[in-house]
Amino acid sequence: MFNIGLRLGIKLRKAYLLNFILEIVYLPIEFIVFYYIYKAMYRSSAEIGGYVFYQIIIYIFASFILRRIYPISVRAVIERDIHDGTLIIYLTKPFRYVEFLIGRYFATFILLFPISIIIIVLFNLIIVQNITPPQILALYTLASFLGFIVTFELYAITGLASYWMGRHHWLGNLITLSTLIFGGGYIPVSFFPEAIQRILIYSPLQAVYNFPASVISRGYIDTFYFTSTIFWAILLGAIVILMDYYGRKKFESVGG
Amino acid sequence: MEFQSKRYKNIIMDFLFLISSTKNRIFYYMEDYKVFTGTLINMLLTFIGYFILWKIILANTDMFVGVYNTWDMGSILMLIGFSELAFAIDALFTFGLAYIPRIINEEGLESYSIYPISTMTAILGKNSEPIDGFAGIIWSTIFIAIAHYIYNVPISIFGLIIGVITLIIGIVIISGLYIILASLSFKYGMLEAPMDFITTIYVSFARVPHDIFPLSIRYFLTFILPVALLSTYPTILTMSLLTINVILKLFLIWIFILLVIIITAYLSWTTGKKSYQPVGG
Repeated sequence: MFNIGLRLGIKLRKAYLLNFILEIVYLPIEFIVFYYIYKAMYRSSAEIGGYVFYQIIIYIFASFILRRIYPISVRAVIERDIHDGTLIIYLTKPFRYVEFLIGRYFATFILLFPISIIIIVLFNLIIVQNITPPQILALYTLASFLGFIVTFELYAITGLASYWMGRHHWLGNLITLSTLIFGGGYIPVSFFPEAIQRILIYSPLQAVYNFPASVISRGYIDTFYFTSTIFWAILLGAIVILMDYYGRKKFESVGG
Repeated sequence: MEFQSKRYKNIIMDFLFLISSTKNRIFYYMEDYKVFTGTLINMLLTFIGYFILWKIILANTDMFVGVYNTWDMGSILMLIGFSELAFAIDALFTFGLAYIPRIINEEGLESYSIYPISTMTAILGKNSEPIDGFAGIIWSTIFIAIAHYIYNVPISIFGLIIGVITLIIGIVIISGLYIILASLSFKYGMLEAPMDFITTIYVSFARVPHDIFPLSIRYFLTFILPVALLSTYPTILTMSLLTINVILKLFLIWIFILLVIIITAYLSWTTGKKSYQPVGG
């Protein structure tokens, strides 16, 4: 099941290579915007929220690359499959739909993540003149993998919700905005007031961008983050399996 | 004389088509109230998101200084309000431009040429996003009002009027650039990448004060791809932060660019359309 999705995902990525190249080309545009926003912020102080300027730049760079790698479009794919009736193609096959999807999106992770590692290591070496320790790279890989799983689950839950709620773009948008703003996509969680930080570190949102990006940017390792992320990955995974199981019973091939 | 009256008749017909197609699309969306409420919720969430983001950014710095202004929450809200107004006007009138390469190469331009109006008006009318447009106008007005009444950002009526004119000039220039690039699809097949590039710059830079960037990027965003005309300039003009001499100089340059872009867009579109073959470009 997972393997079939993975093989298909790799083939699709190769077929749409131009799209991938363009995604990478557009990355610096958004990066430039945030680079100068942070530059303006750091004019008045050398350190904000535990980050010095070069660390925040690596943080933003890492979180922007992760946005390209994460399976954000899975919500739209599930919603389309349920409502256009294409889900029937998968239900008649001897594999589980959600496992197939995670395999398909994992191909993007496998193909693009090593490139992100190379870019960050080179950035550290050339701009900051600093060698990234291999243990930090290993932890970043693990944190990004867990972030990938949690992101998949969050978006899969909103996609599977369309079994009950019909088409609902706003729920996906809510997850995207929440992860970008409260999950550390645009700003690290440590920039928030302490009261909000205390809530955010217990939420699954911090696992998405804040956790991996803080590991690679300032070598910030907290076992609490690891245990919390693993807890959320398991809990959200169970919710996805249950929603898939009960939602499928509501599916009608003529259009859900 | 007869030629002139026919021309006016054509313009009136084009205008009526735009109104009726917008009305039809509104009714189409209103039939499914979930889509309608979903659009409103989506837009509200986006605004709340940007509000929180800027609140945190500004809370972590003593001064957020640009060349023209020291940006605080009020002026940032006004800037976001103007950028949303630009997006709303785009959704109402020019949203269809992004579809032109696809229309030329896949859908077929002939399905838009059957109306007794210009092909471009048909494309713009049939692909507008009126719900997004009207919702955007409402939210942007609320944002500008909050900036003025709650955060005490000064508004000069003269500045507001020329600010809105600047915004419209910016939209027309960017639309012209879209048409020029879209016309390349007549010759080179489906060419969406350059238009996507403009869209990415447009979306990424419009909600940020352009005066925090270095001179080269500021020039680029003011005179080459004038995204700054959609948000930063309307804001600083409304707040009366520029002298009349600077405003006059800027307007002279912008009107010159506007004329060049309009003529180039018109020529590239009409030339491209002549070479169009219904079988696929």
